[in-house]
Amino acid sequence: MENKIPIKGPSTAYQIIDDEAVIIVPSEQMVNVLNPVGSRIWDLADGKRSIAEIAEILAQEFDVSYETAIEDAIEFTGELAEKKVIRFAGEEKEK
Amino acid sequence: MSTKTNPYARIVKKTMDRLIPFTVHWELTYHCNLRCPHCYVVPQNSREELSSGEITSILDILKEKGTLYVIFSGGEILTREDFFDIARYTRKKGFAMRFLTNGTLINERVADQIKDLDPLSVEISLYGSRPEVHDRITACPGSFEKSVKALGLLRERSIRTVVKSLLMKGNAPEFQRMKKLAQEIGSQFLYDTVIIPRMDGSMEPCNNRLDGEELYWLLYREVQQKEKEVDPRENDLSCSAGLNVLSISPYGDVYPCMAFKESGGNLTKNSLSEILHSPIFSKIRSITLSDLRECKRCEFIQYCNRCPALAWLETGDLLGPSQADCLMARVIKGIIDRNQERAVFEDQIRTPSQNVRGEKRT
Repeated sequence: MENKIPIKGPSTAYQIIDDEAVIIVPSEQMVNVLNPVGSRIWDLADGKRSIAEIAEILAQEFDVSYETAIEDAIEFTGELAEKKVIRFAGEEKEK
Repeated sequence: MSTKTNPYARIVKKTMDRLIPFTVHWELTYHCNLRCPHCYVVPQNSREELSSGEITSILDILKEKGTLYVIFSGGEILTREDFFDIARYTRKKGFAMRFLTNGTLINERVADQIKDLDPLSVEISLYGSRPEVHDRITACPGSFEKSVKALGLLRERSIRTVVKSLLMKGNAPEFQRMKKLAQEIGSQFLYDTVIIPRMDGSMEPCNNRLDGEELYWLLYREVQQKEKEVDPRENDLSCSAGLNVLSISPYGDVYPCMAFKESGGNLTKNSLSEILHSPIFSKIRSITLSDLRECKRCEFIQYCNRCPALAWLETGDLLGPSQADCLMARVIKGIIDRNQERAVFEDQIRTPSQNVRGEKRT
């Protein structure tokens, strides 16, 4: 799982205000506001970094252990993928 | 909406406090294929509309500055040959889009292209529930059929649609039938009764406005008691123009809102920061209730959703009253007063405290 590369969903609208990401899935007419850690994961989900690489950055920036960061990153990206807000590189596209 | 418990409301407030243009209303073109007499648009034919390259550069800036919502309108957006290039770029940048259109240029192929863009909504103007009413207003035979067909094509593709209507002298009796039509199509229905003056200052479109009596009979079933709760004294003015909302013209001029056509600068020449701190943006943001000489003393103020732009358009005075808003406030108060009287009367006839002989009922 930690080697997966998350990418923002192509139909997802978003903006980051300070440390908080506002995410909209137009097809669901749904607005989500992510907390600072979730927002940073969202910001780093650029289709280039793996979850492990994202966790390394989180550990440094939020002063937590790598184990905690990777656990959070795996759980959170899984949730976002379920909501089709992100997808993983190599997996079937959202649309 | 409490900002303590609602994270989204908290973010919206933050964008207002920090002048982040969260919502941008962008008039992509002033060209249109319809000829509605109430339209405020006056194309400036001597000026070039922004190219798609200029538009994408501005979109880059808006993304960086915090914009989330982009509302594309016109004129008619689909008269721009590069509309889908612009919209695809807007989608790629992660903006949430709404499209305002008359729908007449939407066919199966265009509807498919719109579907791929995942807009929040496509909002189509309709001025009647029948061709003879709508087409007379648009001055374009066949436009009703095309607009209604477009709504169907979009709904078939699960795109959220909104029927938007401006109610005026030529179509007010259609109000309930239009609501029903929108419901049958599966669209939300939104209406307005305020016709704004033309951009060149002409008041001619306003000749189509409904008078007080017409508004009363049109709206008496729509106005609910809750509207009385609007009290501008509590939060001064609720207008977000120039705070977290701005409007861009087809030429790149930037206004505090779509109706208030006093430019704070042009995005081909000025930075967004310069524009947001320009005298006109600063002026509109600084207005408080105490500045409104007449409005602050008005007995109808709690029924009024005063629009500074409308006051300015009608009289040239940003701080004065607007005829249209004054009229609407009086109409709403009249309806609420009548509803209250009726409620008291109905209460009395339903639960009489005494019988016909004057004996108290138990």
